[in-house]
Amino acid sequence: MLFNSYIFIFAFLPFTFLGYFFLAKHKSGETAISFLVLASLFFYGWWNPIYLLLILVSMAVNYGLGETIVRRRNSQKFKQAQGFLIYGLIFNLGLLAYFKYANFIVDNINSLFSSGFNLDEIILPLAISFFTFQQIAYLIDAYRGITKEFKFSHYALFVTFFPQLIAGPIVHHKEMLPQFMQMDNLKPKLENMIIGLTIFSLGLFKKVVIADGVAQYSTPVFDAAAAGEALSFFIAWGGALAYSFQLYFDFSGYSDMAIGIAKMFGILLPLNFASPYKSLSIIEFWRRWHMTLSRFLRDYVYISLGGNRKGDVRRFANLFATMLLGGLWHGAGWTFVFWGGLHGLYLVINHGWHYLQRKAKLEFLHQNLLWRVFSWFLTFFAIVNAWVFFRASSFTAAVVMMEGMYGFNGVAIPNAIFARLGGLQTILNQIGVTSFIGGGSQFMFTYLWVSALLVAVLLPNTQQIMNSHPDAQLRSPYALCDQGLLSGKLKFRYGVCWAMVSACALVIAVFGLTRVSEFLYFQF
Amino acid sequence: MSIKKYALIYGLSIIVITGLLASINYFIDPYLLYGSNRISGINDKKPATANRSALFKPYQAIAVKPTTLVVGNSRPEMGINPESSCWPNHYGTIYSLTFPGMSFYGQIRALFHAVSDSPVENILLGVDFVDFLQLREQPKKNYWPPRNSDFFDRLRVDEKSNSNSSYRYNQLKDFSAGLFSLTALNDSVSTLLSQNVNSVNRTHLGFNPARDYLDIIRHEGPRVLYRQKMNELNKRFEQPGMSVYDAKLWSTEFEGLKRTIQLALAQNIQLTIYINPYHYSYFEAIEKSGYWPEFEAFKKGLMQVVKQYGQNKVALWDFALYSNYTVSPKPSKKEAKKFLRWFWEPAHYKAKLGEYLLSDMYQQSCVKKKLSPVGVKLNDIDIDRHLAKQRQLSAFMTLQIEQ
Repeated sequence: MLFNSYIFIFAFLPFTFLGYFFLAKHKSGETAISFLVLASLFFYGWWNPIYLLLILVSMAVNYGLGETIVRRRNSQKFKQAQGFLIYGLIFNLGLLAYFKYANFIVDNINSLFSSGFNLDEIILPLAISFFTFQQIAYLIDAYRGITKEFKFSHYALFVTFFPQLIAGPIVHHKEMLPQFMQMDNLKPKLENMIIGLTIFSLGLFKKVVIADGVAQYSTPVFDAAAAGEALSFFIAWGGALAYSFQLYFDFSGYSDMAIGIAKMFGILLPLNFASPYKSLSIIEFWRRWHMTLSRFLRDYVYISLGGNRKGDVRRFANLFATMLLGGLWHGAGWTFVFWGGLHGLYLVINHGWHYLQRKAKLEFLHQNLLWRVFSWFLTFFAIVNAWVFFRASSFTAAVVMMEGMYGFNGVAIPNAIFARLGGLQTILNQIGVTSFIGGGSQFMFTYLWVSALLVAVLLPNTQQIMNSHPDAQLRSPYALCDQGLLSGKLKFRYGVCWAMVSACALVIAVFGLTRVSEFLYFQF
Repeated sequence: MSIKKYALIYGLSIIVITGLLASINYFIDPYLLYGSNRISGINDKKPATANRSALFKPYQAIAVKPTTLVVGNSRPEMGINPESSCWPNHYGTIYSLTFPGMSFYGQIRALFHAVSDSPVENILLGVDFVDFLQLREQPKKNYWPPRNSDFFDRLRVDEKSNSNSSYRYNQLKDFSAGLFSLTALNDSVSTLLSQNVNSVNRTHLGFNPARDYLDIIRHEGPRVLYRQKMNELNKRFEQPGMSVYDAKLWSTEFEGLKRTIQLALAQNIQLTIYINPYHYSYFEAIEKSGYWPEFEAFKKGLMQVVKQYGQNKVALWDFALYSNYTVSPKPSKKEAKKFLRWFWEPAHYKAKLGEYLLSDMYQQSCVKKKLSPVGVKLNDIDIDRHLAKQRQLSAFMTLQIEQ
């Protein structure tokens, strides 16, 4: 079930909300928690009930292993605890490898050795990457002695809690399980509802209105690249920029919705995005983008590989390897690995630059506005380039995009615009700018959207808007202090203006769930 | 402000904003769904209807209760004006049930839908070579199969002419989407902002005045439209292996034609079928691609079906021929006007030429003196001689161009 669907907004969410607090009041907290687990499983099974079995087995095995590890550890049997941890890792990574990477591995073996292994298409179970990572973290922490013993129902809720189940944030047992045990959270609070609904509305608006709105300007360009069409400079850049914004608003909107829904239930989820496109460096970008994934990769991959404890060369190698894995986590394909590797390379360069900056005493540059603008531009440029590999359906398609973006197919603008440029036409012709027929309005709207969103990302983010209110304190895995444009005015408070803005965002976003179909010359 | 008061204002705002936005969509009526008044400068032009004929025309065709239907694709939509003075006076309310880019199957299904609930007495069916020219696989068992899409869900009758039980539900869904959707809101705003005289539009009778082409021609010149369409056509005809019928010498399209004729005869409807005119450069594209024999097979096929099922009551006209109207210079800087006299681009004729078509078919003296006959009534002539003559003209034109 998707958050941005009628069934979720008008049926599942109200029913679950009312049921949970009704049971908490009239039965017991444990009954309410069990109800929430069942509701979350229903939410998960709505997509494909057969995979309920998978998540149930995964939870049962991990819970059992976690409890065993804790007990062995408590009785000083560290070797045995380590053994169970290894079983747990093999089990979790094995499931992930089978469901997410088996086809990818077989395809690569076939390509390398010209073999003909055949594996039926395995459907990727929803959210397997998320719940696997959460449970791996749980097992590792059990081994490290951080995890306590919990009831199965609480553990099951930590894994399946529907707001974060499908697309994160990747939550940590330390921040979730104690919240489920607080009796105070079992009482419905109007402020939680209002704040939660406001954050949900902002998220729904980001997803439905902005991300889905701008998608229509990126998808056709990437489709054209996949079909091998030569793309001119502005078309390719328009597609890449539109996709960069689509992805951000889609993912960030979904995270906001998750945070908002959880807040309605009195649960605080960690923030996942903090205006990543405001970053002045790639290091900063990864502190702002998909923060809970960065946290997981840092705590459980990078540090486990040795982190920065074994010298600079090993540190950079660890960083690069972590990013490669991060890329692979996003999808079973070489384009994702390349994307991760590219970011690994960016990070290594960025750390190298910081080292040089310190040595050459150039830190003062950070205070210089021009330098900051340049840093922002360079960072954003690097990010957009990398997204092309993330989005493209194949390496070939990504290369086609890149050829367009780097002017291999010339620079052209639609004739409808070109014809209206008057005297400029001659100058443009002289510098090699040509025109093409059709696509005028698509071109214009692409750049209008891109320009508007470029400004929008400079505004305060949800956390910055909401944190100004005592009822709306949100939790961020990283401390960030910048505010963004209009930060003085965009502060949430209980007032007519905010009530109307929030209602407007909700209504427009719900309106966005329905589309009036178009008929664009399809034969049917 | 207290949180309770905030929650109250919030709740009320949701209700008020929802009502307000739906009212705007109803008043502007960007898709011509609700029959709201069209006010000049506010919502008279309907640019959002451009790609939504399949949405609003099935409903509009029922609401208008026409006695005459123009059926076809974008060519009659732009070329045959229901409000032309060339229609016989007794033809009553004429509605253009025409769908750009839609298959012939879809056009005929829409026709059955409209006839199911309106006192239709006359049908003018414009047929098109490209609608009949398809990739054919093995001969089909069923030439008139059911098809699923939003469009077919909006029709009152299914492929067997049985009543569609979900029609009302689908209507409710479409009408609510027109009120409670962001697409509609967006289109309402763009409707408000696009009220100049040459905006994209559809009239209440389904006609496309195509005045937006004037803007394109003014700013970019007629060659742009011409080149764009020729590129599309050449691309379409580049596809090898297409034919107008399969090994059984039959197709869904001819089946549709047969069913239309049978419907007309059964309900005593006056049916006139005509082949849309093209600019001669369109013929060139057919010739170059090697599809000229299929073009002839198309005309012969039409003739045979009309003869076999029409009981001499169905008229068949051919306007897709070399004539003083279809042969005019291709648009160049010097001679754009001559081309633009009858055509927007090679595939779409202007309503002015449409009036000549109507004048021919209905023997109306509504146009200025004709240069020569615009079309030929195929019922009365030897089709082989007619096709041979067109072949000669085609060869002659090719020779002229080569010289």
